[in-house]
Amino acid sequence: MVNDGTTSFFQEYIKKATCMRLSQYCRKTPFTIKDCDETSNSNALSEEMSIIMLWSSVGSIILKIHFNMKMATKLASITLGRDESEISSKVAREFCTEISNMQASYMRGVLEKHDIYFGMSLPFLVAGEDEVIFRKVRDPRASTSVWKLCSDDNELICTSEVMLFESNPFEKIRSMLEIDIVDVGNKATGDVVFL
Amino acid sequence: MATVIIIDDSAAVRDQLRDALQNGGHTVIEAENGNDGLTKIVAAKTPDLVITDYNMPGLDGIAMLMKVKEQLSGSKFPIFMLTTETSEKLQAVGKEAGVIAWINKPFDPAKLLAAVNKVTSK
Repeated sequence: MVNDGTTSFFQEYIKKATCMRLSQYCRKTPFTIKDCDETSNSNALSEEMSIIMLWSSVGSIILKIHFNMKMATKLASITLGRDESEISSKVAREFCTEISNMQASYMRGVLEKHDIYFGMSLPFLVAGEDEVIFRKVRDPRASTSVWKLCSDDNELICTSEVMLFESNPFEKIRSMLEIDIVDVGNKATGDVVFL
Repeated sequence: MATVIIIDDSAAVRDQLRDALQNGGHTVIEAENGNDGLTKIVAAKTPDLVITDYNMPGLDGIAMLMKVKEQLSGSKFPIFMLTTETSEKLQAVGKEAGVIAWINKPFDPAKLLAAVNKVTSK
């Protein structure tokens, strides 16, 4: 049985890692993690979302970015360096799938570094609330967390669903994961690294 | 000036890349996934440069490059990987497949153009 502490730690790690990568991705826009009240944020939660999945023999992770066009357009405009009026709905949506890609590929990469191998899906877009596809009643081993990443003038609502089948691989690397976030956070994006 | 094949399933990223490269005087050929990229690289035979994403529907960036190797054995051209992937192990696999430079998204147009000019002017 996986202990709750491991799953909680992993949930917190996903939040911190996503926050760090999103700040990097949005050209150093500082984001902070806040709790999300599903009731007061029901409008945003029910519009659209980008979903990506990671799976392995030791666990599975489903990551969702919930967004509305206003939020997505604003963030895409910062990252792409274009005026909001130049951002089409297609580009805004693609921007959100890129965030999912970035979020999941970071998680996969950092775990792989510690010899925990996960497969990764492509991100996909879904309109409406996730209960359309994923029912509320799930495996009791699953831990679901809904949270927000907030900047001065924008926010992005995220859901992470974590189901770990074994504690040991994650317990062993707990301290190292925190160091990875700091290391990657300090790196500049956009640098051309010759191999 | 060089002919650069850019392969990314995101139209937004392709737009950004095209703008940056055309502003630098380069000719751009676009492909929207790995299969499309494979077709365009094989048709070009020896492009001056290929810039490809990794996570794409169908063939991913590295699988596409392996197929290019099969179909164009002996043909050599520089390849940049432009991706959200940060894995060092994946970079090593990419290097095996012929990738010479790794760029984490979002890219900086000025830095990218400088690298493109450096590599294509050799």
